[in-house]
Amino acid sequence: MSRPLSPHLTWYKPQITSTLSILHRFTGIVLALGAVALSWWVAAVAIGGETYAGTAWLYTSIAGQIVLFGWTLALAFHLSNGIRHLFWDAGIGFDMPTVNRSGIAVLVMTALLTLAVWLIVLLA
Amino acid sequence: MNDKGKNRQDDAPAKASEKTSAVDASSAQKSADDSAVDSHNEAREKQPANDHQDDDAGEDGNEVIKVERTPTSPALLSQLRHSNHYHQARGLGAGRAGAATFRVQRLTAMALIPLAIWFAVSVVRMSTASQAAAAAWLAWPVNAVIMALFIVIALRHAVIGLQIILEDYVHHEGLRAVCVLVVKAIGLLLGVGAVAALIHLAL
Amino acid sequence: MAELRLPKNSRVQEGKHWKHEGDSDNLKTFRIYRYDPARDALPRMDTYSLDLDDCGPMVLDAILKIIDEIDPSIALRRSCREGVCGSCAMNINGTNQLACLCHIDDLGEGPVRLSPLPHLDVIKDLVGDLRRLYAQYESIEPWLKNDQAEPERERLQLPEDRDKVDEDSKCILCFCCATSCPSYWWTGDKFLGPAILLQAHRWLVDSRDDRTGERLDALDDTFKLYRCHTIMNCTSACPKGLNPSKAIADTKRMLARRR
Repeated sequence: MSRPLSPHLTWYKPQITSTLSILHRFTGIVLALGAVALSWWVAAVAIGGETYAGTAWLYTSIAGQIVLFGWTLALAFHLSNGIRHLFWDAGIGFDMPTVNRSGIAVLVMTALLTLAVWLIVLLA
Repeated sequence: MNDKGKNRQDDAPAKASEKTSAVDASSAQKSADDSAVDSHNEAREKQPANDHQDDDAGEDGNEVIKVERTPTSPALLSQLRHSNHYHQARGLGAGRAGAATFRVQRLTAMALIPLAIWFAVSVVRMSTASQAAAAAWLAWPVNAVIMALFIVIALRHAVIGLQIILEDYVHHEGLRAVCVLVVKAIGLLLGVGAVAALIHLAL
Repeated sequence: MAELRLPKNSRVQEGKHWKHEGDSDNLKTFRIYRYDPARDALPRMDTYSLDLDDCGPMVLDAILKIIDEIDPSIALRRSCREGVCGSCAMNINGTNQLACLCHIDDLGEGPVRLSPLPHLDVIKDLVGDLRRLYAQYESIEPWLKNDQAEPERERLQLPEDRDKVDEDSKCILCFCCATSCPSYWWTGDKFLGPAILLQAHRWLVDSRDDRTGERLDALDDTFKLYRCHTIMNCTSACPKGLNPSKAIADTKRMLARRR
């Protein structure tokens, strides 16, 4: 006979704290995949010829640009929330009102950073 | 009335261990036939049964004596389970690697703040460049060095992050070890490959 | 793999609806998690209605009224009814709280959903199995270890040193925090969780304790301590307003400082 397990993930009210935390994890995975793409791009530049042409075609296609946009978004979030984490590791900003405010600040900074990067790219 | 009595027993404020056994006593009676006894418990349980056997043999001589397994008292079972939990909580002791990993992860994170900003601005722009332009850009020593630092540090950070995620969700020890090794191997391969490519371009 | 879904024997069924007798325009619905190991194969949600005009203000008052007047078979832990003992911790409308400190009015419109603290083996109804948590508490050796000769009277402490343990020692071990932590849900067999780590910190910062280094040694583990990813659900759940996340971050900093 085994006892039932009390309801957890699906019954727990979504918290701004845990939602941003799982987003940090998710964007981390996206960025790790991005690191693969980046390493490949560098290698492709070194190899040149057909390999680079194929890679460039893939990266500049509409799907590639959408992925690239998603990737900068992930980078902006992971960077902003990462800075928030570094503050926590230094022992700063642990009271709940500050936690909620810094959470919102992270979302705002993510949007601004992403916009800034793409403005620079499009204007240049 | 009966149920209320039980509630009161459950609620009695008591020390940690007493509290658990009080709660368990009310349910253990109902589940006396609880077959999900851990092997650890079973080994301990057999002991009182063997003692009986010795006593009986002394009185009755040669007769084959069948001894029924004495049911373990709910209170003792509860106590044994607690010692099991305690044993599990201590586990094999501390691995002493946590702080070191933590430190590397934070140091790489700090290094990545300026590198990531540089990267986001310059490389997203380069993704549309021609091969010649990209090669020239990467061949410039400053760009090459920063790019190499960024890739190596980012991969180090990513491998630790992925390892932590695997440790969270993959509970089978063997599978987890394999996954972590694969992630580390891919990280190493990508890092070496990218740095080799950069050196090739710079020379 | 970590089981993100509930196992088959834990999926909650629709249970009995108890109709309210008599008139009232201040009826409140309570949905309570029910499981009796002697009778039920699966847990279920029973629904009760109460006249709030004739009931105390707290969720605990409501549960006790249901037990007294409607269904005496509901099991729960409770004792002090004023947030001191930590017995009546449960999941109320999705967050972990003490039923005795939770105003029914603060829960807003709609039914009130009560279930045991998350991700525990259910003993009966709202009573979850806390043995692992108590064992983990025992494993951090929560007692004073002092190498000096025993004093004739108590061991004295500077007021400012006493202040350092002040907050941590207000913990009542209700485990609202530990059972709100996703990391503890997935790796609770090895991760000590916020409640126990807060207590571990309490002994690390006690000026009278001489085994700080040993205690840190015992915590320097990928699983025991570093499964904390500063998710912060613990701090947001603590009914006493304590800050387990902060205590854990401080512990990690102590470990980093020795290198």
